Amino acid sequence: MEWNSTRAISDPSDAALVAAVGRRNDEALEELYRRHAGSILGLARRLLGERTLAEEVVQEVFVRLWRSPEKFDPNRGSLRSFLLAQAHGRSVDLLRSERSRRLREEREGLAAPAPGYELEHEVWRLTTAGKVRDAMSSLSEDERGAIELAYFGGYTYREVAAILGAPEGTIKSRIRVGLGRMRSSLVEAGIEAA
Amino acid sequence: VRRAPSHREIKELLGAFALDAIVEDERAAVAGHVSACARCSHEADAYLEAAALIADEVADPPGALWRRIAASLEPRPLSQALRPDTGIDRLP
Repeated sequence: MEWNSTRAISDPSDAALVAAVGRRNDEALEELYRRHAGSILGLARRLLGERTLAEEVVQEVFVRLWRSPEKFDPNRGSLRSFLLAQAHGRSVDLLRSERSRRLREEREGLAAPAPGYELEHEVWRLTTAGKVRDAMSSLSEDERGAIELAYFGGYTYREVAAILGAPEGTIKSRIRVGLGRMRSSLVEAGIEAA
Repeated sequence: VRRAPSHREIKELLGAFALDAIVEDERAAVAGHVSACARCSHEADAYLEAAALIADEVADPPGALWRRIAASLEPRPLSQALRPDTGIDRLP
């Protein structure tokens, strides 16, 4: 069954809209864009630091959903986290290739070290930029710092360990324990099923 | 040749895996394990939901960007049959 009016289309669940996308209903995709593109763009922009590339990431995510809606499995989690995970992975790839290009050029003397690229500053920027969400308030400072550097900074846990001067095992565990704690606070708040 | 990481080592990496924060040579091993192990897959999915909580910078999604996306979509099968074009004419 297809939706005929724009009013009716604002009601269905994300999963129902994805099913409609599978039937090549572009209005369903547009509604999903209205619901989720803002967060996806915000995340990509925060990681990449500029708008044009971030918009390309958003476009890739939605074109991929149009082509392969069956990749989303509603039993595994929300569409929002599915789309954000794709945007995050793609943004991190772009960020890392840009960082390695810059490092290579610096080594070869083609470029001066990027101004303001100081780890301490980077840590400060990342840990103070975002507003602290309720779910993050249950975290220790150490857990929050590690998660923000990894998620918003696009650093590997090894890089996070080097930045913070902590052992790699400690960083792996801070990220895992912190995410687990956030997840539990979600479940306790009754927002998500366990 | 590196030995394959154990189940316990994989579990320790699941949080970093969900944040795309593992190094390239570990990614394939973790992804392979997660696709075969229901418990680890469930745990990684839970971390993805948690991560989605902090990515809440919602701006109004731009209409111009939607129009670019819509223009790049392959047309519906029906319009393909009726109109052998790129789908651009479906735009307002």
